[in-house]
Amino acid sequence: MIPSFTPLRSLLWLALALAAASCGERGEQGAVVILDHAYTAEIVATQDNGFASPDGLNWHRGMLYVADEGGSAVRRWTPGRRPETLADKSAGIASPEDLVIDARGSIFFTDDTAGGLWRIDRGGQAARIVGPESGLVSTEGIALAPDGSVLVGEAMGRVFRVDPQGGVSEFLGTAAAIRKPESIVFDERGNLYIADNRDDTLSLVTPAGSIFRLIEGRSGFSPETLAYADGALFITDSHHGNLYRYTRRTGLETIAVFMGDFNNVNGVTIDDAGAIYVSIQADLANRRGYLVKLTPR
Amino acid sequence: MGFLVIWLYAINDAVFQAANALVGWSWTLDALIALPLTSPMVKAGPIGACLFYVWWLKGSDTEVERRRSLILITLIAVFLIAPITKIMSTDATVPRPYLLAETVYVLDGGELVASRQLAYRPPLAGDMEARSSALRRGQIIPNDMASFPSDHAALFIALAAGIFLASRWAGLFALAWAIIVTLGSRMAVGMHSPFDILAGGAFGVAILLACRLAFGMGDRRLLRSVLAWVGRHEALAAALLFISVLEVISSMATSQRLVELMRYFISGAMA
Repeated sequence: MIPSFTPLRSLLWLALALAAASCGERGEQGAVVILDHAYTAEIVATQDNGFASPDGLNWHRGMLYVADEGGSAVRRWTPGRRPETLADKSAGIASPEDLVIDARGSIFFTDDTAGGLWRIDRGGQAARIVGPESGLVSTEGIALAPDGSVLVGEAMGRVFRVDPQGGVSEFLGTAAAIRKPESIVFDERGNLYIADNRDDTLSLVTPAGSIFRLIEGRSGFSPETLAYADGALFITDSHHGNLYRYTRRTGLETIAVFMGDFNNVNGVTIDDAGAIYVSIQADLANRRGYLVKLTPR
Repeated sequence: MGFLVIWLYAINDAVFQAANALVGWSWTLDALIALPLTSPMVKAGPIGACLFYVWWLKGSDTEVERRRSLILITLIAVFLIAPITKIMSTDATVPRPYLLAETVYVLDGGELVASRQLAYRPPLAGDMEARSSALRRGQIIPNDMASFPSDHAALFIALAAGIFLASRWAGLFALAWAIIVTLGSRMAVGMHSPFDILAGGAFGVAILLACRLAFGMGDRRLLRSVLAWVGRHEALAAALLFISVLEVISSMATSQRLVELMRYFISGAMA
């Protein structure tokens, strides 16, 4: 039995108030710390603007293409307008991961749940052009090769080449010791960069096929998505909430740190004016996310 | 109103920069200033010693009972302060001053709002030197975005104020130590701004006074029962007092760790 001391009752009320305060609904909290003072930051779209929880991004001819993983859709967005849905669940898409657009305007994307390589053709028809039976079980990174083929990273550590006729071959096997090619991108000289966010490494495959590990074993580094522009590699790190710039000459430089509900920074792309767009999955299960733009001053 | 806020921020920033100007000149001085951040003995050992001094101070039975009652109330207050400030500070995104040398945007009303920038001199030694270096590599600990209010200010100002209520001279010494050494060092190295410290201190004193109101005035049966128990078990009471003070001067580190482990255990059991 509880003694009837007034102080004890006061304590009980205080404990109840504390419990209520700690259980109350917490609003979303996030912050962006810009270490490269050449940029300013702003939110350009959220779940309130027709996105759910975006992942891969690709800036192409004045428009932003978004693999909206939380919304199981691929969308196209012109700044200042509502996004346009190009393909969604009705086409069988589950978790679109990353995307590229070829010179003819076809959109290729990966899906780490449904697997395979997907294409939305110029007519707007979405279809899986290579299925999981070809080895593309859970697809992650995607890149357009200089020869017109599409390279696709698979979650179990292999990279496949899909030629324009739909033929599939292995570009990198398990002997390359890439554990999860989460993101892949070519530079203008045909070097392929691979972000492995299971082994926390950034690797380079030269046109001659030699493989180099550019960054490995670095504390606090786990690359998520790569974008290449103007001689530099832009890298997001969803484990540590970072956005980096990397060149062979300057090494890895931190552009910004994303904190709180902004920590899960995923896709990255660069627009024609040098602004960086990043996607943030604030809550994938509850379809909440942000698109943040870092604009050069 | 807007002018007043600007004026208050100007004072806050000027006081912060005056304190921060102490660091960045000498490795030895910076290592000395950083000592209270890592050593519980330097941070609050003398404040704990003041508490023991007041507890054991001779006097009439009434005087000893009054002092010991106040010490017990103070200990109840400081054990309540830690969880309350933790809840308050995690609900607000306020970057530590050392981060304000960078451009910090905080999510506010669905938009990213730029925080004001602050000139900052990183120290040449200690934990904050390491954090400033880690910041260049993009490493920021989440707690560095929750500097308001200062839980250290709440804890140690309340502890010193409680000692002051029990004994003026011991309390003045404890308050001076808390302000100059415990909190001054945190301001100098860029962990807290004067606002963080003032708000934390005011909060700590408010909790102390609320506890004094609840336990020390009106119905005092609980305190009398505890003091009677202390009279019967002096040795055990001294041991418990030692453990409690040790926990307080180490900023409740063990309690926080135990709470974390409990959360981990509960979430693991539920998963």
